[in-house]
Amino acid sequence: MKERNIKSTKKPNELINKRLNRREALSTAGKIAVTAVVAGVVAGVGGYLAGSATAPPAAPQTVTTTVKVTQTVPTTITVGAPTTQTTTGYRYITRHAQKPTTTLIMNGWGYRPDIVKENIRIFNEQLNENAEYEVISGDYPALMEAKFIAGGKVDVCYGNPFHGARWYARGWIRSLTKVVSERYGSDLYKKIVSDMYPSVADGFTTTDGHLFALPYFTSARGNILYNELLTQKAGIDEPPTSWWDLYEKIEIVKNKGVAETPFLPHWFKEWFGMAWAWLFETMNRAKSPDGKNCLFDEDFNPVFGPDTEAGKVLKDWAEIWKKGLVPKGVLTMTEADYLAAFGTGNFAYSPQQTYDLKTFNDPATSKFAGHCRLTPVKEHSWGLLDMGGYHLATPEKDPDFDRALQLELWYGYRDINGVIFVAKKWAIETALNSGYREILSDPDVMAAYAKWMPYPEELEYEKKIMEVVPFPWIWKSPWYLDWQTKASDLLPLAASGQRSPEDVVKELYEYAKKVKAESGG
Amino acid sequence: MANIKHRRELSDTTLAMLFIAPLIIFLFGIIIYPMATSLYSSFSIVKLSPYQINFAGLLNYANIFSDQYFYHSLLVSARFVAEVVAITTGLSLGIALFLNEALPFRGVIRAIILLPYALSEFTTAYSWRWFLSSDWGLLNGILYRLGLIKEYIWFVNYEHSVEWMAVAYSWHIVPLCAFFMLAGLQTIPEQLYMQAKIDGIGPVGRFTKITLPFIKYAVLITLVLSTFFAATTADIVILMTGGGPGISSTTLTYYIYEVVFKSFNLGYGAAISWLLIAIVMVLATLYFTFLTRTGRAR
Repeated sequence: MKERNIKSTKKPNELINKRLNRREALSTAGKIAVTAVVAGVVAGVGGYLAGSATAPPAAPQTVTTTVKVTQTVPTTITVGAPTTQTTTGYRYITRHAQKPTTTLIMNGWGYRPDIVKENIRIFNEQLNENAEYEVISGDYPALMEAKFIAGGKVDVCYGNPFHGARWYARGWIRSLTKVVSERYGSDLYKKIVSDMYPSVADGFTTTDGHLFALPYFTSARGNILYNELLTQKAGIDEPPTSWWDLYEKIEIVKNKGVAETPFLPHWFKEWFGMAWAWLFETMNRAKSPDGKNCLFDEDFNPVFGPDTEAGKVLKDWAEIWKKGLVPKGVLTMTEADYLAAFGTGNFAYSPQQTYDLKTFNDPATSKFAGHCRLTPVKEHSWGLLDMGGYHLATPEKDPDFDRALQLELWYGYRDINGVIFVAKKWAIETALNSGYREILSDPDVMAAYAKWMPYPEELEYEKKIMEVVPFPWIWKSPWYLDWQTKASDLLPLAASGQRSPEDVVKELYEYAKKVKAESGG
Repeated sequence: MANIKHRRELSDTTLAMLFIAPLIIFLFGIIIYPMATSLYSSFSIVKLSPYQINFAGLLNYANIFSDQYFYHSLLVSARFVAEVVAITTGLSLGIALFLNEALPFRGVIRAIILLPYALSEFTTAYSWRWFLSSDWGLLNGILYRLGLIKEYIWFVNYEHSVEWMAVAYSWHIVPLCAFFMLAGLQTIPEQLYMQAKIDGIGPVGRFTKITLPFIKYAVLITLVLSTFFAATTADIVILMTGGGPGISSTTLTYYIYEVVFKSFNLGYGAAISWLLIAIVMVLATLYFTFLTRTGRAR
């Protein structure tokens, strides 16, 4: 006892040098453990109470803030009474009087995390919020699903439409149709949808009519970009009008000795590489807006076969491979490799994202900057509608739900000033188009495009592309990703002559039937 | 004081147990529990949403044997492991013999040789991916500049993607194995070599009669480690070839990754994983049996 009592009066060195007996060591350890547990419990309860304090109160408070309204609020929106602390600025986005203590988590893939973090910073500043961005590196869909399964904290996350359809079916994300209408009134929901391109709103809607995401970006993936330095050298003055025309033109380029492998196809080894190439070329050639008549029907039954357009596409791929018109290494490229390869200027044509027109007209990333051209829509559309969306994952019972919904709306629609802020910023800084029609007509966006776009008329091409680019209906199926994995493995075998296109088409058909049956349709 | 006297003293064993208890709980949480769950999953059908795990007996194991992609990936794995083991054992022995010589700057040379192992598998895979690229790879660039090729070569093709993966992976683990062998070499008394020379035994004889018996266990460790490493690595496949072109370099580990993390067929993936563990254990047992039996015969 004596020793214990004098402990606090001892000098540090004495304490350090003192030999503790075994019992004393255990006793001290036990005390520390008990103290830690008590402290943890106190902190937990405190944190819980603090968190509860930041949850939306039942009645609105009046708190004056200094947020400046810089844009007129659209008068067509009738907003239900928000349940949060204050309502200054755009009416459905509100600023907190006190910064919440719990953190909202937004997950996304690693595209320009600098811009995303800056946007999060602005969100936190505008709303006095506490949100963080966490990048998921690597195989995004697989890792996100693993996080959902493990019950990790996700409030808002990126995803493509087929992720959203699958995640919604599994109950991991919320119906915005329901929660926006319930919290803010159906007029706001209708306004959001009417501001989008119809194909975008449709793509983010389940087969039973629930909007499950707000647009992050939209693009035509598979739009043919061409290097006019090489095409002019080969004596080709006009861009291709169809896939068949494209294949004739690449032969001309090769035969004239202008490029060893004139075509860089969308066959890279990513989950969205070759499988998507097959979808978009088939839909483009079949002039199908959704693939229902050439890939998967209304009920997601496969309708492709060796003699349909899908089978013919594979046969054409095997042919261009055999003729040496494509680089063989594309089959093991990542998307980054693929972009870098086209940026070398060694290829005449390549199906790319519309927004990468900026990448290839930037001297920092392209050796033919100023000469990368966008192929306009003529005989049929090019590519498919590639979209990213913001998905709301917070459960409705979660105390942070309303905050997460605000994050979703701020990111995916308008900020506190009523501006489609995030989408506009992406368009200005990286040429990512938005799902909202007003972006491409915005004077600031048009001015930004004019700075890098060598041929300003191509902005009109882009608008036209966005109106007609097809959206694969099968992406609404919850089992699409299973099928896509198999397609990504097997399609290269058909293209490179390792297996016959007929065999591969048949196996993919059977596999689609199998996964559909296993998932219960 | 009287109270203290009556308290039972903790024995050393009990105290030791108390000290290691946190570690045991930790290990249970991160190794034993997941492994037990995985084993149970391999006998079950696992549904994720809503989460359900239904016992299905040997169904997953039965399905494995009718899965042509399992056989394909098993063969790719066997080829990859055999190549890695051969390259690693040969190269690490050569490097160990070299490092065992009285070289100038031996410490610096040893440090340099160890560098590839200091890199992560991620970095190794990416470095080799860039090195071998058919569009801008360093190897193609060198060959082209030297005038040895007229057009760039597609190295990581259907026929040789596994070989290039084996080369890249061996490059990564050879230093570790070389140092195991070097440790074995340094236990050999110098007098034995001198005596052998006096007896007129040539270099080959000295190697087979003196060196090899002394480094037998280092070789065994190299064989076991390189087999384990190669059979279980997935990083190099995911990052260097993505299992491609097509499925030409899809090893068993990559196939498991696809089944579990892309198709989310957890029960089936667990069954293949346990089969892989069984295969590796059998191989390790064979190595031990073979090498220890040879030792007894000697």
